[in-house]
Amino acid sequence: MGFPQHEIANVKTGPGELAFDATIDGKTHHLWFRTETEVQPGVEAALAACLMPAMRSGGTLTMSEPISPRVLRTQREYQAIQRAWSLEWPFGMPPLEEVEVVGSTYTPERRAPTGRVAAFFSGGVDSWSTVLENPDLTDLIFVRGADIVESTHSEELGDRVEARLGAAAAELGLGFHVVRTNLRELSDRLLPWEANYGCALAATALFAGRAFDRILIAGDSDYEVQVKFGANWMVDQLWSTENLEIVDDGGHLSRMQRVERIASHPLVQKTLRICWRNPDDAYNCGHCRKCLTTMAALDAVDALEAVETLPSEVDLEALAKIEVSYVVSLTLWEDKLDAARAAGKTDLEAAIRTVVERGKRNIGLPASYRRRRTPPPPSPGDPASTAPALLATPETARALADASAAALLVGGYDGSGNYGDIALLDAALALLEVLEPGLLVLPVVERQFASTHEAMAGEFANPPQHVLYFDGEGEGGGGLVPVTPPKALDLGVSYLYGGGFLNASWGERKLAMLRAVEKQLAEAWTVVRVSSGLQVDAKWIEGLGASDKALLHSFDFLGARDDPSAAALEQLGGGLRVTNTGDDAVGLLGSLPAAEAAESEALEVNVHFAEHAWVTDDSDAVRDFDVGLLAELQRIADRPLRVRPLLAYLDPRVDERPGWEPFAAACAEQGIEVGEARILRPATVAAEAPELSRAFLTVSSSFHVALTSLLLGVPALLLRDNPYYDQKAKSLLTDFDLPAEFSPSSQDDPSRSAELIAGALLGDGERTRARLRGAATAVRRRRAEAETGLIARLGRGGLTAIGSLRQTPSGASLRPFEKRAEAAEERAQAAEQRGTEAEERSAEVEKRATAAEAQVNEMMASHSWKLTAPLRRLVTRLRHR
Amino acid sequence: MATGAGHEIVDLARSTGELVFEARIAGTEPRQVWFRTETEVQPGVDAALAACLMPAMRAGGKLKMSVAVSPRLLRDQAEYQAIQRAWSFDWTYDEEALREVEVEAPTAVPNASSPTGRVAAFFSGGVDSFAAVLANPEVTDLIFVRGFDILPWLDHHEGLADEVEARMREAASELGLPLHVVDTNLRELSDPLIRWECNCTSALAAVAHFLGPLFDRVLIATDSDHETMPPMTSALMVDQLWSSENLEIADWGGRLSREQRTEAIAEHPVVRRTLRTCWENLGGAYNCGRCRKCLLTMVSLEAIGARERVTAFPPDLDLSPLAESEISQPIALTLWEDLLDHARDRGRADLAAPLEAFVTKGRRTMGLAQSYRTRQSRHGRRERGTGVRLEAAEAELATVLASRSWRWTEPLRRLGAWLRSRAC
Repeated sequence: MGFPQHEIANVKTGPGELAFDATIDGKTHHLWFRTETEVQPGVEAALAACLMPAMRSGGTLTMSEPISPRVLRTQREYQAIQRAWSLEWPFGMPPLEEVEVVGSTYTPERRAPTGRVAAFFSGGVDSWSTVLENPDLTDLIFVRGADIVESTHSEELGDRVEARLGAAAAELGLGFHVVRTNLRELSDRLLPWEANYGCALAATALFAGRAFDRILIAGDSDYEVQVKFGANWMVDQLWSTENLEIVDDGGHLSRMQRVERIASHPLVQKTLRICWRNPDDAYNCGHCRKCLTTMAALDAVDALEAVETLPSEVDLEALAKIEVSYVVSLTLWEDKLDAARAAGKTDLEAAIRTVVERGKRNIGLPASYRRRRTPPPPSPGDPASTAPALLATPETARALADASAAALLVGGYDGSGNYGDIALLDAALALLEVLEPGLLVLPVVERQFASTHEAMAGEFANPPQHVLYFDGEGEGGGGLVPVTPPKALDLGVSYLYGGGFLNASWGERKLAMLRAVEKQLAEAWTVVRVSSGLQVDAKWIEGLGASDKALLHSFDFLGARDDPSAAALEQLGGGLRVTNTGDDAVGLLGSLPAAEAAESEALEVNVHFAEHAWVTDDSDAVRDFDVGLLAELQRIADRPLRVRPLLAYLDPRVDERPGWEPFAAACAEQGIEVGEARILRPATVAAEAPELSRAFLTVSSSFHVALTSLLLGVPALLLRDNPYYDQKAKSLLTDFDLPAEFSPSSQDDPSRSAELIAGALLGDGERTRARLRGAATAVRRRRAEAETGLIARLGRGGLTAIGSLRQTPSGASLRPFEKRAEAAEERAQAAEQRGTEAEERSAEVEKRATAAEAQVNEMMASHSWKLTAPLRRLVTRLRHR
Repeated sequence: MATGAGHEIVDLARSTGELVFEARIAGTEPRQVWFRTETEVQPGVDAALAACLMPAMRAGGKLKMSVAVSPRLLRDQAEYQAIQRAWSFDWTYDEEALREVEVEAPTAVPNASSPTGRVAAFFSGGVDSFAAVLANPEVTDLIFVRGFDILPWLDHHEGLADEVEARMREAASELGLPLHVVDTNLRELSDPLIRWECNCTSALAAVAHFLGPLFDRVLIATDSDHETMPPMTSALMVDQLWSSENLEIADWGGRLSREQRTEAIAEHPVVRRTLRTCWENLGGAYNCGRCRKCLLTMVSLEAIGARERVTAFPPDLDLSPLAESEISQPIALTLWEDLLDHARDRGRADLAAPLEAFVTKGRRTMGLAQSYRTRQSRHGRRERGTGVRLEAAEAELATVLASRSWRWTEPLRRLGAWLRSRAC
């Protein structure tokens, strides 16, 4: 204990008035309590008003007036409890220190009971609950100087609140006492009100106590979730005197239960008072955090409209932005989430879920954290609860059951033989490779395409070792079994990798897949949600329901393929920041080896032609445009033109080859030579790349064919016959700094398009290619940065999972682990080892990269390389001929 | 509140020094429960409610009694129940949480009796009760209960109660305080339904009410301090909720750790002769000197150089039994952690070494990190989230990943890899 000397002196009492000088930390405040009620004040009020402020520095507190022996005895226990609690306060201040109270006691007399029981009454949820739950109450006490203080609230507001609460008391037939005090002038500079309000109200109770046998202080939460500050676990009983019982009330009811019980009372509906901000002297502003919080609770039980003192609708967007940083608040929000779920109020639920999930992140709690031991209620029609099952081979199911870290991937690839979709997943798998084998990577594909997926397995540059099959019916069979949420997962990753599926055609299906993934990760200690390369239809996003929006909003790292998609995702609200990560396939296609441009007699043109409904609704027009364009280019260039057909979609279900027969025939009519079709696959595209890169131009109906070409430095045009492709084409124009003529529509005049393209390429083709190479470098760099962001987020998630396990602190929070305590320690060690290995691997990658860079630099700088450059060019040219 | 189970307190009879009733508690056979004392007292019937409440909470439901109880007690027992239920979620005994019980009983009109001027403390001869008695000079009476820590149905306790009672009487006499001996079979009712660790202070509150008319206040000595007390029994002084209009029941001891209490009492001559900590009483010993509880106290005394003068314990200190024992409860871990600190503070490396091994093993058993310390006031606040080393690793990882050299050299690395593969 330190040596500060605090003092309470010049105590003056009279009917309804107590005044004294409190010298705390060397500063003297003149404090007072006043009431018009005829009561001889209890001087213990002065001690209760000063004790917690004095505990800020410890020392001694001298009290000039004799006080109740019981109070002098039990205040020591009160102090010891508050000091112990303060070791865990979340207010970022040093713990309290005990104070030695130096003072005398009077000889108490056991007086005859007054028969009167009072409760503090502010008009809020807690005090209303106390009033309505305790029929033995005879009086209410309204304190001016507790939540309404002169420094921030007008006298007029205080009068209005007092009048309204007084009227309510009168209607209830209860006595109404107003106590004014300035005690917060002392305490607010030393303690947060949340930590001191119980003690401050106990002081007020002691001031007015001689008029009553018992005074109730409404606490703000129930025993199961109470925290170590405030009027909790009945500690304010320790302020009781020989003749006055002081009681914390409400611990057997949760806040939601209180709201539900009071909401239908007509007086509550007329007087409920929540607001502490009171802008423009509003009784309740309806917009502040406190108002929104209670409005959400009322709305969850369908009671908001009847409450006259609050707006009848909750601003869900504002609600979703509420930041939670204390566990006590998080618990209240978790309760509201349960209530909204139980009521099937999906929009409200989604907004609250956003608050809860962000709150957990703010506080550093795992995604699976739930304060209450009781499970959340089932939600009628909750898409998550009815999410179809994921299936797997028994081997994969076992691997998942045993995994301590797993990433489930939903994105463009669904099991079909689409070049671009395979490339997207391939890039995601390459990215996650750095975290394997500790991280089990599981792409989710459509069960209906299980056989095509098997056929495609060899087409990946990084074939997936395991996959999960998504099935709307959820039945096993065919060698597949339903998988259940793994229990031992430290880290669960939901990775929504890229592609253009968040739209009316595929969006609903992919969200259903995401929900199935959520269900699988339900038991994970930490869940990290990341995404990249999403092409989004803004209108579709806008029309989503709240729970779907909340699902997308829950991603820690949201990456979009283009700026309009990023803007659309940011419309999900809550200050969401979306990164333009570019297309994911750049992670794979960005490293393809390009060849030097060839000098050739004929103009080589890569052509991808497809008749898919999502590309165009008039494939004849596309063919006519393409062939017309090629013919005109041949004419302008005055050189023979040779078409290299490219196939980007080929599997047992979809085949682009039949469309090429009429295309080739049309070309023949124009004297255009058509070569043998090449099938583009990630596994083999590197081998095809030198050939592709020698082309003069690529004409494509596929985004990824065009992207491949552009990354190889070959100008590409992408047809845009619908808004979906318009968005894709524009993103390529932007990324590769191409003029608008590189995204024509089949309805355009092919001759005019050919003229423009010929103008751009034939006149100054080398310059165009150089510009493209520069743009491709920027696109690769953006992808590298995106990969850094994704890996960093996943790395943090993994480390957080490890940290959460290791810090499991007390008997209480040990509870979830009691069944697997030993395993927890082992897993923590294993996880730490994995973290170390990941770090080592990162370091190794870095080292290898540095070595590679050094090698490149060395080679490039070497004389032999410089001197042989003309020779290489010559060889290349000869080879092409 | 759970519905269904019905409990009842019937056939309550009281006479001078005796309270008897039949407890019909779901989950166990109806049982006659009795409290007896030779002290002249007209027993308080609130004792019956305090005796049956926690056992009834095993099943929840409704508990009826036809005898009128204190209005304050009837009101506050509901809060007591709600708190114990909430805490029971965190109990580490692999049992279901308790359930609240609706108590249906008439209330008595409290009489404004004059204060008796007497304050009693429960007295078992242990560290906690000696500390309570010696630190509270206003204590006027001591209460010794037969049937709580000494159980007549245990073979090795046979005859022990008489010996202990005799020594408690002697100690009380030397302290100049009257000793009231209460005999009860309450644990026959409660033990099949609720662990003694969870029920002990409720049971003491029952005895306090049994003798209640004699006193203004009864102190219950608790076994740990406010900072480290796990959420059970008397934590946060919840036994206050057993108080009636005329009897204050107060938990005492929360301001002192066990080490502080031991140090405070060790030199008192009565303590040296009478201190009793043993619950195992192997071979009917007053203190066996080998069980964990004896060793805890003996090492405490040894560390402060007082053990040899405490003749109530065997003369030799042998820590080898610790190797066969294991800590599995948070409260025990705290006590041994404190003892380890205590031994270190006293420069007793010879004691600290085996204690450290014992505590280390305990943390492992409980799945706690070895860096874990219960007492934050001594060892600093526990970190939220990641540990220091991991934070450093995270920062380092983030730095590497965010470095320009990593981000900007990506194309070069790919090119380098390709070049190398070509070279191969």
